[in-house]
Amino acid sequence: MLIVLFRAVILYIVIIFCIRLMGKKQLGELQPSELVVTIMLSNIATLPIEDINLPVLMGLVPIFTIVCIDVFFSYLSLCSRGFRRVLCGSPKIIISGGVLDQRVMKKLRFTVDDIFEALRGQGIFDISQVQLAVVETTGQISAYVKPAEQPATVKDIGRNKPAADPPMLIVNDGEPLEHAMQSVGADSEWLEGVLKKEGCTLAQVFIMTCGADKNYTLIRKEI
Amino acid sequence: MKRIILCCGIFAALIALSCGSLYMLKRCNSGLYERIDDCMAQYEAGSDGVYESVERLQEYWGEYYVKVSFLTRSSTLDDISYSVAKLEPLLDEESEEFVSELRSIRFWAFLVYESQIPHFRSVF
Repeated sequence: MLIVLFRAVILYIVIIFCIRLMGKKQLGELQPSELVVTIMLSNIATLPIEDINLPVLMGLVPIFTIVCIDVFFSYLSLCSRGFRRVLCGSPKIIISGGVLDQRVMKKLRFTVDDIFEALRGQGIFDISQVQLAVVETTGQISAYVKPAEQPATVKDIGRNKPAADPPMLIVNDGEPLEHAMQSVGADSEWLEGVLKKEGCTLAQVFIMTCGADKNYTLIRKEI
Repeated sequence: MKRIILCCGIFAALIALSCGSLYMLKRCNSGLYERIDDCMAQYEAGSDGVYESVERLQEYWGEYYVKVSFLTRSSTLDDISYSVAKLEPLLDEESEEFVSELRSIRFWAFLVYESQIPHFRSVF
């Protein structure tokens, strides 16, 4: 069993190293260490299930070992910036002032298509609009658009709009959500009044949302 | 911090479990060796008590197998089971193989213990 424990430790470190070696491009939204844990746990967990000749303990020991190492490593990365950099890498600036840093691009093995795809995902179709784009440690690209290209906000146009919470779902499939209704200042009497006005029963409501200003949207059941 | 403490506890428990399993295996092996030695001694002395000794060995092996199969499950354990089952018929036939079968059981039990020790070659 000690062998399994040692092997789990070694494999964890080796896979972390491999994932770091593969670079950010290989990662989705998970940090390298999280990805390693996900890969390893999913594989190890199936071994004792598939092979009935393998004692369950042989599966449990490496699973707990990996989870413990991951928690220790995440604690260490919390304490030490250097360790965090080794474990997860560091964010890299790939576009600055609308100019693509080709050296960083080459280093990260990002293609132009990868970058444009990520920018398009954020509603940016012209690279010159980007003031700053950062490749996060998860491999995702975060872009900050130049102030001149940003859409005008209410503040920009000099209008004063009081802060208000967004509308909340107060009826779901004919079921009134009391807690949500309270949070927008509505009650069952108000709801009954609205339903009467709309000419439908509560059971006929598919969804109904309402804001603090009592503006509501009602969608009836079609089936 | 709670999570760290919990993980420290789990990790310590894993190390204790791993070392404990080795200790348990060693203790079980000692018991098995004792019974094997007893069988050999009785057989070499030509005593009738050898049947009782074999019976004790078989009983002990039954318990040993259950305990050890929680920790490891290899074909070696099955080999030992076959050899233990063969002992009585070999004794009935007064076969010379009886002693060699006992030696095999001893060696296989040693192999089971040895395979659990984390040597450099077994880890890598």
